[in-house]
Amino acid sequence: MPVAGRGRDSASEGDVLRRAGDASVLILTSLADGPKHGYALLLDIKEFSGLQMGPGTLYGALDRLDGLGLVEALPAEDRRHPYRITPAGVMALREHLDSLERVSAVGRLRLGLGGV
Amino acid sequence: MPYPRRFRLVEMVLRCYSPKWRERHGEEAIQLAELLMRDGVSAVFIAWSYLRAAVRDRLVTRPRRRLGATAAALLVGATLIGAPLVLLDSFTPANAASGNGSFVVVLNRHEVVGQLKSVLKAHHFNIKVEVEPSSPSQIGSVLAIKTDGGEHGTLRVIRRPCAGRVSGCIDALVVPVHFKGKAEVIVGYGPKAQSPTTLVRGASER
Repeated sequence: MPVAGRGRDSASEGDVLRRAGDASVLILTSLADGPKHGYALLLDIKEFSGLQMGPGTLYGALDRLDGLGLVEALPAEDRRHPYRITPAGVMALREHLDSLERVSAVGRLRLGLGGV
Repeated sequence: MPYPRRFRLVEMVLRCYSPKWRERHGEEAIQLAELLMRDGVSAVFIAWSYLRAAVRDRLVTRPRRRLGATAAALLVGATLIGAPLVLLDSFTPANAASGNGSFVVVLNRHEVVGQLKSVLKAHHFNIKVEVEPSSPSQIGSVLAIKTDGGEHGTLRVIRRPCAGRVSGCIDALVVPVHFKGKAEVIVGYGPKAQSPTTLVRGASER
C-alpha cells in the first residue's frame, strides 16, 4: 500500500510518522479538516494542542511531509501557500493515531485507569 | 526595542537558509513572522526557531558534510551578514557587545577542538584552543576563556539549560567579527578523548 510518492510501502515502513516527529503529527492533524497556510496551521495547532510551534519547525516539518508525499502545496494565495493532506497522509495519520491509541490503552490499563 | 529592528533580526536569520529554501518559503516566512509578531509572539522565539531549522535544513541538504563542520559553517556564514547579535544577547549576560555582528560557532561536543581550531584559523583569529582534563560532564565543553582585554569585544559562550547538567550546556562560542586581540579557549577533555599532547600541538599550529 503506497504511503509516499516514491514507491514506499506502508507494510515495510510501518508507522511512518513515528520517525517524522511530533510536529508532523500536529500538522497532519490540523490539515485533516481542510487545507491551511502556515499562519492558520500555527493558530489551529495552538488551539487544539496548546503548543506554540515555531515557524522554523513548521516549515521544516512541512518540507519533510512534502518529501514523504503526505502533504502537498496548493497554488499560492497572495504570498502564502496553503497545504493539504494527501490520501497517503490521511493513511499515515490514521496508522499513527491507531498506534498511539494502542499505547494509550496499555498505559491506562497499567495505571489502573481502565481501557480506552 | 522598536518593531522594525526586531523584524530585521528575523530577516537576517532567514538568510541562513539555502537559496532553494528561500525561493520556496522566503516570502511566506517573512509574512508569517510579521503575523506572529503582530500577535505578540517574541521576535527572539521566531528568529531562534528559524535559525535552528536553518541548521537542520543545511544538514539535510548537504548530508555528506560532517555535522559539526556544516553547523559551524552555517552559523559563521549567518553571522557574517551582520546577524543575530541581538538574538544572541538574549541568551547571554546583559553586558553583551556591539551591534557590529559576530561569528557564532555552534559547538559539536564530540569534535569541539578540531572544529574550533578549523573555524578560528580559517578566519584568522588569534585565538588558541587548549585542553584541560575535566569531569565527564564537561568533556567537550568550553571550561574557560582567557583574553587580553582588548577593545574589540570579548569572546562569549551561549549556554542553554541541559538535562542532568547543573551548569547548562554550552551551545556556541560567540566571536565579535572585529575581534583583534589574543585569546585562549580552554576545552575539557577526558581520558578517552584525543591525547592532550596531540590537541595542544594542533592548537599551536596557528
